[in-house]
Amino acid sequence: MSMGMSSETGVRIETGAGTGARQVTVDYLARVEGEGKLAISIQGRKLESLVLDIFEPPRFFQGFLVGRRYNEVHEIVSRICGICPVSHQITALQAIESALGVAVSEETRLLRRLLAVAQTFQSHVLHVYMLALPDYLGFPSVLEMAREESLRPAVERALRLKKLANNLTALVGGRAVHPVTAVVGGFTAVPGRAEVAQALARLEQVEDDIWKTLRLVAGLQLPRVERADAEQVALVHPQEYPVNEGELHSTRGAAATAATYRTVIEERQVPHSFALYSMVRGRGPFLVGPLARVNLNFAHLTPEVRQAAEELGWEFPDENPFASIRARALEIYYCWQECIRLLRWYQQRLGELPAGVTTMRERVRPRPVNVRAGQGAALTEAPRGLLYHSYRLGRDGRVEEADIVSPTAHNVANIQRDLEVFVADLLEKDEELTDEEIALKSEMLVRSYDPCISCSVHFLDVKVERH
Amino acid sequence: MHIVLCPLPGRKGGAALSLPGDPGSRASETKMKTLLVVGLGNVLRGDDGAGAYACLALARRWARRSGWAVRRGDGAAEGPEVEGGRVRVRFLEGILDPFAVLEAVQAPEVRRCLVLDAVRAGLSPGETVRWELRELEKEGGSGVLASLHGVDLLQVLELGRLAGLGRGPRLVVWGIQADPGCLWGRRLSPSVGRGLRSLVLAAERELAEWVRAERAAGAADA
Repeated sequence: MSMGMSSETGVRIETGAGTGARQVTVDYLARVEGEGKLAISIQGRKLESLVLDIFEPPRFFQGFLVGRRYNEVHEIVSRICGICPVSHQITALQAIESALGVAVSEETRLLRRLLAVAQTFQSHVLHVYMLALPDYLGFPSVLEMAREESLRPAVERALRLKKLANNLTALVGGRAVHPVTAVVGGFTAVPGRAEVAQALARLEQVEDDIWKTLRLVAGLQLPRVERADAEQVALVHPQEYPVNEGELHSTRGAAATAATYRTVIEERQVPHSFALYSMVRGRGPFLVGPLARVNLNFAHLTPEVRQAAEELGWEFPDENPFASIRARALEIYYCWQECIRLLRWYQQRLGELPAGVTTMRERVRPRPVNVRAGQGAALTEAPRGLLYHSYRLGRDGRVEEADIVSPTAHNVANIQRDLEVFVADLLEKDEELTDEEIALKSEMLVRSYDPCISCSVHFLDVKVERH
Repeated sequence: MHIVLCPLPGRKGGAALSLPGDPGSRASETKMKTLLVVGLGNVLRGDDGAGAYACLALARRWARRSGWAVRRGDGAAEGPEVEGGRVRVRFLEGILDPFAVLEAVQAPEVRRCLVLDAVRAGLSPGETVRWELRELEKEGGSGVLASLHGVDLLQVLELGRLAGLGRGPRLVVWGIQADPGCLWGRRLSPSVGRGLRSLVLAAERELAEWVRAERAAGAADA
């Protein structure tokens, strides 16, 4: 075997002399959170094997939680991920509330929704501009892209939008990175009138940025992955675009509530990875994330967002995983609108308060909790897709068992399956394709899922013996 | 009201609170020279959390020894703030998103920024190291500091510069070499645990020098 390697990209190419065999190994998947490795073996123009190897050690988050009190869990899980602390926090709160039979006020429900859509807004902006755009425009990183004078305004726009969304999280959650105000049963603090008015004014100023984002994404040429067995899973809610509530549905008819999630979704071990592979029972892997959400909930997007999709020529449902970037762009638009709607609702509710009452604090004040043994689960839509938390509490309110499945853990098996189909198709259609191009296109596919490998909690330390 | 200088709830419960909407001292906000201390890292990931723990230990120590007033956060803060003699120190702990640092250093009142982080610098685990931002830039320090999806702090600061946000304040990094075997869990490796005190004391000395310099500059201005 002869071997070449690019130290910049971490791509190694090995060629078997006279056999036509090649192995492409991407040792480090850039712009993917955590670490992963991809090994592709090719014989002639046929894909021999493809292994997406997650070599991040197992995460022990579930273990951390055992023995902790019910009112500590949401603070601990918010530390799991630097991008989605709100999702882990709200999902944990809802699962704990389910276990303890705690009902929350409508104000709490809507403030949590505001927190979550602000987080999705900033996460999608980060992905579209910083992670995906360099791929499509041919730059090795966002920094190289930003050095191009003509693209500078796009980078400025991204920073502006991300800051705006982070400020919204800080406004409701008290902190932009690990929010602290959401607790079991409500909120410990609420935004004031002046801050809300200021946030609204800032949001209303960026409509042009939102449209420029949509048009930018519309100009990108997307590769395609065609799979007959593709299945997509997202929450569906009868009245609204799903964020923190709804039931699990799939494009092939699977359905479950948080309580019955484990009867529909199973996890399997595979020999080459620490990750547990999520499958729809009796079938196979599935995709979660913005594309699944838009496909299953297009009718619940606002008329303006649906109109934008039509104007841009984007048709949904679309099963091509590369179309996730279009779904993300539409959700940026949706989240922007939803933040404005929820802040206006908040302003209106403030205006309706009885004389002498100046804040919403009473409406969201946590009520006394009747601590008891119980089991509760919750499903939410994090920026990267379906997130599941489940807890069993003892009579003293301490966690006896925790079960967390992140969006990336849901997606890993599907990424592997998509890669197999995509690379085989690339080899068949284009015999001139170089190994570097195969590696780059494969990385683009992985990145289109925006995986957060370091927060996939269902990773096991598996030893595999081969004989 | 109390501020709990611990990133995670203790066995007895309790949480750090930062109340958005508190009026605080907005009028003096822009006049108060502010020094930032940023503790990078995830406290659930072993030695990765060393920067966050060091930041909290320094905040606790500074508040106790200086006798400065402890303020509550104002909605943008990620941790406690202390102030005394027309200088404020803002502690941001547990930061994983380098864009949050970019936003924090862009605040007009911020004069200098001290970053605490676990680093991979080829030293023995627990050894400390100090860099000025420009030294790191010269060495292309990618991968040394907090990274989100492969976009690290240096790249984000450079992005900010390219986007016209300016170079920001003077930035110094105090790092502690992580033990590569300590990737998970809420405990630091023994070596890093032992080295943390040196890191905190070194950061405290630098912070004290900065405070003196800012006060001297303030006196000269007056």
